Amino acid sequence: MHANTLQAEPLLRLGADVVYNDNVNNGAVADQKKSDTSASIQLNLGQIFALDDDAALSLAGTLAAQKFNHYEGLDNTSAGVLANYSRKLGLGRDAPRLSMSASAAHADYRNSVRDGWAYQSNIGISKYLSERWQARLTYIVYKFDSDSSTAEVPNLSGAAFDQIAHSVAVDTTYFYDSSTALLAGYSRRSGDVTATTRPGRDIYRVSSAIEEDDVFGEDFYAYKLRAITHDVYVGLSESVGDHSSVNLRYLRRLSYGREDFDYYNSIFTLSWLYAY
Amino acid sequence: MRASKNFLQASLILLLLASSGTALAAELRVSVVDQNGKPVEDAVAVLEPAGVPASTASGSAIATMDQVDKQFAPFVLAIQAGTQVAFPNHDNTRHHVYSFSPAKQFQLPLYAGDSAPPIVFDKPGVVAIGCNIHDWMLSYIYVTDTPFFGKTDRDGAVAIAQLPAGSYTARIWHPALRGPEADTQRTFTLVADEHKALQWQITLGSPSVQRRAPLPHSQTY
Repeated sequence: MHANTLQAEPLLRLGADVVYNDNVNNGAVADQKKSDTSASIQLNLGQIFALDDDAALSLAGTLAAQKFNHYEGLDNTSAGVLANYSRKLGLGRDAPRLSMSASAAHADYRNSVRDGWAYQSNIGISKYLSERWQARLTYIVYKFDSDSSTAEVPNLSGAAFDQIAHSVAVDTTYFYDSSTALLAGYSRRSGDVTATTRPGRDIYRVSSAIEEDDVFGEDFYAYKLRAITHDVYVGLSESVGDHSSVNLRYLRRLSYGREDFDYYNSIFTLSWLYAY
Repeated sequence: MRASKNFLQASLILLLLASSGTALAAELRVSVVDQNGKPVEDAVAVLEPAGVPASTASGSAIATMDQVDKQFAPFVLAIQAGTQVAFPNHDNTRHHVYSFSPAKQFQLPLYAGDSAPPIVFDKPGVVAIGCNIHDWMLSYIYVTDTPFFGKTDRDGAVAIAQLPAGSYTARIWHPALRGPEADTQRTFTLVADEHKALQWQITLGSPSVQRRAPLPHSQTY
């Protein structure tokens, strides 16, 4: 058996979560904010190929489904593919690990203006800073191309759900013991943010696209603008055996758009993960 | 014919001596508990007879550090210096076994099955073993230069038999032992055919982190 022989092992990753978001529509002011709770499941199924002593390539198909409690128009399913290249830069647990991934998935909201393709590319490096501290730095490019759009305002695009954004994220994990891990992270995202509101504010002036969006009721419009988004989170992860974990996370999201178009979210997530 | 008869006589004498030695051999039962009184599994008990120089195992001595379900087995392996250790891989994926420990630095690049050659551990000390592919895989090989040692079971107990009468120095080691191994040292004397029991209470710190379960932001590999 030579080191450069391709050898595959199965990749199975299953997740389920419940998420509460106090501002699912990105309302800019308190009386516009809509909160909801969703439940979702995710499945990644594929193969991991050991390329050489230090590198591996994983290829997987991805499936996900999300169901909201109140706003059924946000319910969606998605299917896609994921490729990840991982290389250990040295020998030993402390050696940094470089990873690059690319994914594409089609989101289906049942003929909604929200339907479309989501693409994401990541390049990141992770390292154990000590026996118990692990840190990861990731650069992310995200793009969403909606399947269709309808211009509502002359000379203004209707593609309010098309997005492109760049993010830099830092994640840290502290392993309290072999079961319990504390998580914290920060990301800065620069790019498009889509919000939905009733017309009335100066959305026509600040937006780069506006489109009718009936998820939250009649006479609601989705609009897109550039924003800087800061995500800060803390979390707790408890292993359940060798292959699964239960995770709790609180994320605070602060998006600063043009003028006073700022959006604040508090997002609580309870998740279960299984990986083989 | 005469030579054959002499050989037979010599063999019988040796056998008698060996069996009488066995009958007179002493045994030490070691039990280890932690600071809370709980039995400590995987503690290594080492007995050094007074006045006897360090020794190594014969070249044919072989032990096994297995890899099953992406874990090393056993977690702690105690061997005498000079012992060869085989690292069979019973997973359907390849492993890259390595150690940076001063007592034995080595690596076995990606391999499957039994294709990796055994490694001879010729110096006493603790050797931490890892896998470069699966960071959670961790085990320890405790290499000692005395033939008298053992590893505690789930009940925190081990019996070390076939001990010649005499004075001994005993120590206990565990991967999570807080403080130096030398602090556990005790001396005692065994007379022929004695069955002695000794208990150690050791203080354990936090064990090494070996988390395998997925994290919310972790990659799958």
